[in-house]
This record gives sequence, C-alpha cells and structure tokens, in this order.
Amino acid sequence: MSKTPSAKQNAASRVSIKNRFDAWKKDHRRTFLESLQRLLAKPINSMMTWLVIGIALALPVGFYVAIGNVHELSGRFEGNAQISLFMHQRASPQVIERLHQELESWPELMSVKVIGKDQALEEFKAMSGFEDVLRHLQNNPLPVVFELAPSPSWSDAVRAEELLERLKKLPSVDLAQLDLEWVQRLNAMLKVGQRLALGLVILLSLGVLLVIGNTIRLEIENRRDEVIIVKLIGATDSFVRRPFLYTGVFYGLGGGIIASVIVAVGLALLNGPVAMLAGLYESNYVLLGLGFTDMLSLWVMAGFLGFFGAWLSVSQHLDQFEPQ
Amino acid sequence: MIQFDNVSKRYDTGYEALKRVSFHLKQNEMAFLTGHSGAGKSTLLKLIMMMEQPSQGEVIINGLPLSQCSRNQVPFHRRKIGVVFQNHHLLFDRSVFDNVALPLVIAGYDHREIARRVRAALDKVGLLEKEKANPVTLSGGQQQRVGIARAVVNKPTILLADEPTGNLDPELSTEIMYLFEQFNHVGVTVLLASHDLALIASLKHRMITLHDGELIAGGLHV
Repeated sequence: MSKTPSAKQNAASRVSIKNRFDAWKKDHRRTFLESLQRLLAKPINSMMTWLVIGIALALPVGFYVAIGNVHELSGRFEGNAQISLFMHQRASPQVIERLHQELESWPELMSVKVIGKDQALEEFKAMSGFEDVLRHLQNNPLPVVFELAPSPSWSDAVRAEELLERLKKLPSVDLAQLDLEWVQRLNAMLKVGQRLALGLVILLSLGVLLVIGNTIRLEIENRRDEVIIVKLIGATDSFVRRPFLYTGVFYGLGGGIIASVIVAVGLALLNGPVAMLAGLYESNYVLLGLGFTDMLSLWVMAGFLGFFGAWLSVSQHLDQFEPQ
Repeated sequence: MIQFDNVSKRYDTGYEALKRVSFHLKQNEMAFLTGHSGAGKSTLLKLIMMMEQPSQGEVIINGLPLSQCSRNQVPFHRRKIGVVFQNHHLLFDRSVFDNVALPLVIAGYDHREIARRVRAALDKVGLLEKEKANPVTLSGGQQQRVGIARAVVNKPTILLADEPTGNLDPELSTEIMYLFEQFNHVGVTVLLASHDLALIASLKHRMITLHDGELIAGGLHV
C-alpha cells in the first residue's frame, strides 16, 4: 500500500482540539452524574462508607472546635490581666503619691487603684479570719499595693509581661506580679492540645485515605469486566480512571458533610449544659461552632482526601487490567 | 491495511505463539484466519489490537508501524478497529442500546449523534426493537449480533472477529457470516478467526492458515 492514502486517513481520524475538549467536558458531566447515581443506587453501602469517613473526620474536627473554644475563653481571661504592685514598707506617703500620679498618666494603663496599708489590713482581717491575732500586732506589716489594669492593647501575655518588667524597675517597688500565669499555662496546654489535634488529623486523614482507597479497589474489582472492555474499544486511561476518581470525591465530600453534621449535633447537645455552667460563672458564653469557611474548608479537604485516596487506588490497581 | 512483516511472538514462558509470519491484507479485503486451536490465531489478532507486542518483526496497520505507536496513542489506534469476541464481552448492567453506544461515548460523540448511529447499527444487525432490553435476556445469536453492532457503530476501517460463531449453531453462524460480508461490501476490511472449516469453505474468501504459529497457506496474495 502506498503511504499517501494512509496518511490522509490518519489525518481524517485525528480529532481537533476543540472537539476533544468538548468531548472531555461532556464526559466529565456524564461521569459526574453516573458516579453519583451509582452511589445513590446502593444507599446502604454508600451510607456506611460515608459514616465511617464522617466519624473519622468528626473526631479531629470536634477536637479542634473544643480547643478553639478554650482558646476563646482564655483570650477573655487574658483581657482581664491585672498587675499588682507591692511597695516597699519604708516607702513614704509622698513617694507613693508621686508614683500614683505618674502611673495615672501612663497610657499603657487603663486604671490605677491604690490600696492603702489600713485598707489592706481591714480586707485581710475580714478575709483571713485572723482578726484576733492581727489585733495584737504592733504595726501594720502590709505594704501599700497598686492594682493596675493594663489598657486593652497591652493586655495580651507578651505585652503585659513587657509592661511588668518596666514596672518592676520603678523606685520603691518591692514586687510586681502579673496575674496571668495560669492563663499562660493554659495557653501552653492549648499548644500541646493543638499539636495532639494535628497528630490526630494526620492519622485519621491517613485512615480516611485508606478507607476510600480500599472502597475504590473493591469498586474496580466489581467493574473489572467493564474496565477491560472499554480499554479494548479504545478508552484512554483517563476515561477509565475518571468514574473512580469522581466516586472517591463523592465519598470524601459525603463524609465531610456527615462530619460537620456530627460536630454540629454534638455542639447543640453541649450548648445547654455549657450555658448553665457559664451562667454559674456569671458569663453569657456561647459555644463557638464551625463557621461557614471552616465548614467549607472541611468539605474541600474531605473531597480532596477522597480524590487522593481514589487516585492512589486507581493508579495501583488499574494497570493490572491492561489487556495483555 | 493489515500487514505483518516477519512477525514472531515469544512469551516469557518460552512458548512461541507466532513464528516469522508475513502477510498483507489489502483495504476492502475479507479473509479468514484458520488453524487448530493454539495455532496462534488469537495472538495474531491481539498483536493487531496492540494487546501484545511482537517479539520480532513489524505489524503495520493502515500504514502505521505499530512499533511507532506510543502508549498514549494505543486507545486511538483501537478506536479505528472494530472487534467481535467469541464470548461477545457485553455488559449486563446496562441495556443493549448502552452497550452498543459505548465506543461512541468513549470517543465523545454528541448524544443525538450517538442515538442515530446506535439505531443504525442495531437496525443493520436486525435488533432495533431490542434496544431497551438487557443483553442477558437475549439468545446467544442475538448477543453476538449486539457485539457486532458495537464493533461497527464507530464505523471502523477494520473489523476483527475471534471465533464469532464459536458458540452458535450452523444456521445462526451463516447469518452472522452474512453480516460480516455485508460490512465488507461497504468497504470494511474484515479478518475473521475461525476453525469452522465447513462454514468458511462455503464462503469463497481468502484463507490464511496457521499451524503451530507458522503461516502455512494464504500468506501470499494472488
């Protein structure tokens, strides 16, 4: 056979880029719908997979929400940072008065309150119950105390600490104390918790990946004949892969949605008792839930996990069907 | 159209399925590939479909040496060839229509065009009224005809068949052969593997005969 007619035939059978793109779009739409229909045709099987993924994702997400709430609460306490400034016993009233005026002028401080020696003794007597013992003291052992509240911009742990260092260096100051240490400890614990949550996210994501990978592997096994036949009649690798990848995305996405429902239900159940607890602390604290963007990123992440799990499975198992 | 140049196929096990086979099937030609079972008929068809690579020699389809065909091009090569299998390879989870439509869906045709072509192909094999049926409800002969409709729906230039009448009685076999002849008459190059010698002898076409992987008759075109 001469080369000319065959070359012409080859050119004729070549498809234009635009047609290929149209075909590609069409196939995506078709595969999208078919994969979804396939999942919905077996609602119980699909629901079980969705639940497994949903529960696995709900654990770290719930943990994150809990940490977020504690974080928010500790932030509120941080806002209440208070610095106590204990004066030397021998500091004269004039020195104290001068210091009082100076502190009043500091923009870093929101309020300055002096507790004089006598007032402090009265309070101590009332609170400690050592009234009888204290009455026998020759002189008042308590120092003058300044109770300082930093302005909001100086209330976070780092800046309050900075402020504290400056206050310590003032003349006649014996001791300066920041009542923020427990909040700092809590914050450190939160960091540990966040790290734990990250570990949990990684492990459970890996679990989700494996669950989806395995589910897709079974799906490929079930559709073995179909895969072989479509390959024989000219399906490209991506045509063969596509329905499985879509199935993976749907599994992931469905699992993500279920996870957000689980977290939302959990929060709703906790909200009553938390409101009661907050009421006892004279607070109107309301639990923080998953925001819209959090939810969206959870779904996107879950969908991506599904895609990736399916992709791993498909690239591992589809080659064995190369007709040989 | 289909050209084998000194083609050998040796499997990893050492078994030599084809030994230096050469022949040339011209455009619009129809030929039977015969030989005892295990003579290498299926291997020869698989080489054309690029389901196997030759160990030696060159297979040239439609002017294209298959050794130059990259892995990415294999699907597009297969789209130009219609294949009919002995066990017809139909999918029982979908209707006759959807089975026949499969090559067109893969090639990305518009659904109106798909419907038109599928009906035309089903009409040609006489199964138009069965388009909504599940293939599992059809008889063996009907299933084979659905397989043929699927093979020709994309208007391939080459039609291959591996024992297409292997499971059918003589009367149905004749009908199926008649169908293949019809496609040949409209310009399709047809290569049919069969060991039903009585049937193919009655059909006056070229016979390419394999024996133990060697081509013993029909290699030279006269």
